[in-house]
Amino acid sequence: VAVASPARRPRRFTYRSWEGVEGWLFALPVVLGTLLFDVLPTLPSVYWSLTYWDGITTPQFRGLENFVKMWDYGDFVNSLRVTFVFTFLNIPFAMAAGLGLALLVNRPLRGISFFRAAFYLPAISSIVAVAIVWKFMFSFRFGVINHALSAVGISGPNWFGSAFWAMTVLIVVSVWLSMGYNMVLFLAGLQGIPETLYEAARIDGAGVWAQFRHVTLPLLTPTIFFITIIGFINSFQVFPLVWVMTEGGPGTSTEVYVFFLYEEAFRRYQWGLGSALAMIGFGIIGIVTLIQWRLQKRWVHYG
Amino acid sequence: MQLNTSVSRRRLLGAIALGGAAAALAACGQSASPTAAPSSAADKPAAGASAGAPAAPSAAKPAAAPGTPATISFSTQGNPQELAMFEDIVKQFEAKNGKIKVDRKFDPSLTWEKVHVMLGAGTASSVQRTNDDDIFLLMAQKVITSLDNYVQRDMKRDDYFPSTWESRVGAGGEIGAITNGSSPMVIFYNVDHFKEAGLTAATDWKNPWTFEQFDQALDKLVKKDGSGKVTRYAYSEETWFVQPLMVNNGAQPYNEDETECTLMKTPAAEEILTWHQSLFTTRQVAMPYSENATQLFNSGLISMNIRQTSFALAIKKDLNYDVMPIFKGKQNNLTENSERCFTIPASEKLKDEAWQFGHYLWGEDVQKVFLKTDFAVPMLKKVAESAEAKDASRPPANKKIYPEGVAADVYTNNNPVGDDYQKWFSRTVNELTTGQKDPKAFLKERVDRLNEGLKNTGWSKKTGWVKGWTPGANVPLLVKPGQPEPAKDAAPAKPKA
Repeated sequence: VAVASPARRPRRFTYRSWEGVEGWLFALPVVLGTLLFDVLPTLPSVYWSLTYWDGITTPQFRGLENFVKMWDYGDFVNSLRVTFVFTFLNIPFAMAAGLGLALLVNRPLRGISFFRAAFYLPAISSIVAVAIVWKFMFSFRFGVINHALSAVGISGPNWFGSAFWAMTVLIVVSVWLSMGYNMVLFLAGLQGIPETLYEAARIDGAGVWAQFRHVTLPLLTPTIFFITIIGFINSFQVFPLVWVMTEGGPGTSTEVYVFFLYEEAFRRYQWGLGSALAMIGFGIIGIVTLIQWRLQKRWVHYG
Repeated sequence: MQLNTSVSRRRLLGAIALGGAAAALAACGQSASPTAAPSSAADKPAAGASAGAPAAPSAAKPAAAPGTPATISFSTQGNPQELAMFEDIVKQFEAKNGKIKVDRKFDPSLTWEKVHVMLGAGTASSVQRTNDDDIFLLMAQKVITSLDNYVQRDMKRDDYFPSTWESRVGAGGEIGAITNGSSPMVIFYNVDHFKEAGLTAATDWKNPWTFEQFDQALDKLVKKDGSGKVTRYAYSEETWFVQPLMVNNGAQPYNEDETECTLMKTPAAEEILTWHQSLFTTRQVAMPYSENATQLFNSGLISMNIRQTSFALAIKKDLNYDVMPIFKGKQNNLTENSERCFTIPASEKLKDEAWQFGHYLWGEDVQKVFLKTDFAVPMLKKVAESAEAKDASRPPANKKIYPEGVAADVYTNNNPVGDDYQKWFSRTVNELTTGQKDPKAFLKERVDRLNEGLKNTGWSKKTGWVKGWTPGANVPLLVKPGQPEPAKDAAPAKPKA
């Protein structure tokens, strides 16, 4: 039996659909901005990663050659190793420092706002200026830190004269820079924990450590999760600190991934290789973030 | 509430998409992305305007409508004093050349990387200040103009130091830049420290300190406290001083046709690097690179400082200092200089007018300004060697050695691995000076890399052809192997009336 299909009426705007459009219109500047300045420039980079390009002459398609060439001499592996060392030491120390500060300033004391602002100050300071000042402070013979150490009978090392100490300095300064930002996030997390939970714990006989262990920490896991993700992304892309303080040295012992990429792309004009490195970096950050996202179900409590 | 409109969702979304696309296109159309690759013939420098084919002065297009001045642009970076100096230079040029107006594009924060990209994208100025170390590469990439014909027509080569024509060139020796100033390396020294140690400085480039004299002076000048901690360094250097240091000791960076790095062919390089490392490690007389040499020299905490002549601008007024020539190694006392370079992009339409300004920058008036402001040592001999240049009443007193320093330049950049040579014997030298690597391993790693680069590029100074820069890379051939070289410069055009 042939059934006549009903004529389709043109869909008209309802209030609800207009609301949707309105929402998109409000979001349009951000969406367009992201598309234009983030997504769009990334697309040519995907193509360039498959080419030899010196930034000036016409790119020549080379397939996966850049992805093979980057393994030459071990510079790529070295930069990855250095970056992971920096990242996996920087994140826990920065997190612990931020949490410690947050616990300290999470008290209703007179003038506590001053301390909160003071601890947050590094987060809004110019990284380059901060790096220059820290570099002076860590000066081998005439720096204030080695002077302070010598006052207590310790002969300070040449901080930028060995791979170990240069990396240590970078991590110390990076932790100092990011702990204020982490403190604010932890503070917000701490103030979101209901007092009633602590009261219940105390009634159950929990001491300070037990309260922290079984109430504070579990309820801060969303914050810890967020800081871990942001911390990994930021640490993996560390550049200005290295640029100003060590220039990747001594030798290439602190040549982090983005510094290596910069060297290849902007100093040696290997833009194809630089693009390939950017793709790999993007992939690593994406995969690690994805893994973190998947694992959160096991340890993050959303109350 | 029902919205009474007959506009369908599809049409509305279509309109938004269209608007968005139009906005995006408009945004893109504002200016070409500096990083965009040339996508069509129109984007590329005009044929015949490339580095491979020197510009013919007479072939330039008419500048502007008759009677109206042609406008060229001029871009440089620098500190406020330097920019003020260039402002005055431009004013003087405009006053003397009523037919050409110069649009100043001064940018204190302009980086060499940005200049490189601007030259590639065709957005550089008519006369563009350019990194001296980039000239060889930019010539090979055909984005700057060969100045051979202009120079041949308008200049007398003998009036200038040879490095003017030899230091910043393309693969075939083409002049790639208006190289009008230089900063040779000299030894800045603290006069009071020398008196205290009973040392007499060398005053003539031809009679420098010997290696032994320099070595002994280090021990006399360094000061250590009871625990052996350094309280005053004897010596500090630019990171790339290691390059002339090896050459001065008799090492040759390359063989004759530059097909091989020969730093390990003789023991000269390893020998001097071993000595050099000991200055920083066992003897502790040299300042580690991580310290601030300017600050310490100004504070009297360094006695000798191997820097380029422009370092004088950073020395505080009341410091009693002077300069002396680089000490002599087994063979030489050469330096590695920095040059002030200005280029004319291959895509420039008003080449003749740009050249007139470039020529002016090379002229006596500007060279005198360079001398007066200590911006650079002039390349014009008669200015660099004038009585004013030797004026001992203005520090440093012994600046008469500067011209000889300009002449003592050693070039290692003019081949496809020049950038790598700079990187491995400059930025990462601290691998040696901090004792992370022993001199032999340090040297071997670098020589191996350079040799592989040379092998893969197929570079030969004799044939001058380039098939690529780094392993796997490939820039267009300048001269294909087995093919004759391009015809030399055409006969220069007659000067304009």
